[in-house]
Amino acid sequence: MLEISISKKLLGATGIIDFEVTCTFEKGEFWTIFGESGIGKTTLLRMIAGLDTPDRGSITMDGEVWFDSKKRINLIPQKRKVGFVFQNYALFENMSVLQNLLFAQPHKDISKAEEILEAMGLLALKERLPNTLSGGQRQRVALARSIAQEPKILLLDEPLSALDALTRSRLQDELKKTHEIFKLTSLMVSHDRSEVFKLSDQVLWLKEGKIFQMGKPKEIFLSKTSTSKFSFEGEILNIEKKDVIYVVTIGIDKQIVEVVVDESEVQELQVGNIINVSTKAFAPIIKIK
Amino acid sequence: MNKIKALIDTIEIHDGITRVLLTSGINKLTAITLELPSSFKIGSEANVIFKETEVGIAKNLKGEISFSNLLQGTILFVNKGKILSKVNIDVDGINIGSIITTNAVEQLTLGLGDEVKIFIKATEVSLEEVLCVNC
Repeated sequence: MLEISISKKLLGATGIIDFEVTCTFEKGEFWTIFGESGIGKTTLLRMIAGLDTPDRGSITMDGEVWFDSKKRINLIPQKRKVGFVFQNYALFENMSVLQNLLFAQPHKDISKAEEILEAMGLLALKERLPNTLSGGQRQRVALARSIAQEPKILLLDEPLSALDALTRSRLQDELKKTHEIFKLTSLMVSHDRSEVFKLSDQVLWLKEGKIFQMGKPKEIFLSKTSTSKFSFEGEILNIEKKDVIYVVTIGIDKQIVEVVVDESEVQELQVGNIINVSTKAFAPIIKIK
Repeated sequence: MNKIKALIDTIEIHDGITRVLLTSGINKLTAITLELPSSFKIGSEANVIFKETEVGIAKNLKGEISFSNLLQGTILFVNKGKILSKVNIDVDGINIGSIITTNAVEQLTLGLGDEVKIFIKATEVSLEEVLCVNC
């Protein structure tokens, strides 16, 4: 169990942010740290890892104090037993996949390293050098290497964001499977809602350096004030009168949709408005592509 | 969008599907939803929401119909377009909008002052929390 209660002044995109988070991460849970960029998600992981120092507070793992500003305790990263995977994770290019794992292990154990590779479907690649691997394979090896470190916690900072959509989706499945096998307490930074939904047991949603919401993804992302289950945030791109109705064109992520609205509603709407568009779960039609 | 304030009378849940019965100033209303957010409770207020395009109109109707939400009113206004028309109906002082085909308006010869029945399917009705107390 990881208990944190930390505060730090951060320089965010819009100025100084008072970062202040208190949270308990239970053993074996997969957490996502969710929120816009520049609000301290990565800094939170770095503070847990010991790569950044909070101004005040404490970080305790299974009763062992990693950081305490009052008692002036601040363990160095190497003593914290943390596995860290970044977006562009650096593997040792002159070592094979297996050697990369062995290097990371606290006690060199080939059979254990091979077990990890086997569980992650990487055993066939064990003699390969990193530069002969695809981007997806490299990230899987990076993950395997972090697991080989036998960390108490796995920190994943947008590990899949540099990959194409298909590889990303496949690796999300792999990551989920890997978590089910090794049951490591994991904290992943992501701003992709579908990724969060797919992987997380719990979500820590940060806004302006503070906890905005915390809980299971379904509880957090499904609307709490309305019974609409099919709900997206978008931007109004165009409003056009057609016959007696109005058609509003809305950009949602990379998709563009059209919604029919009545004259009485259109008066409140303007091009550029950020809006929520929703319908009941009963209306949409699903087709396989 | 039509929005009617109502009180929640009954909540019936089975297997993740919820049937909510409400009382409004104009009639009993029914909404079918999946899981209902926990803030919706019996006795609490909710806005009943449905789009104009989900509201059907009938004149001189006889027989029975499966629509759970059935209201009676008087036509206030008909705005005829080429293909679609907007009809406003007064239901005991509440203005309900309906968008139907102009063809239907002509077939039913809908005009000002006509007594009509209107229908909304329960699965097309959304509920929204009433967020402010005094409005």
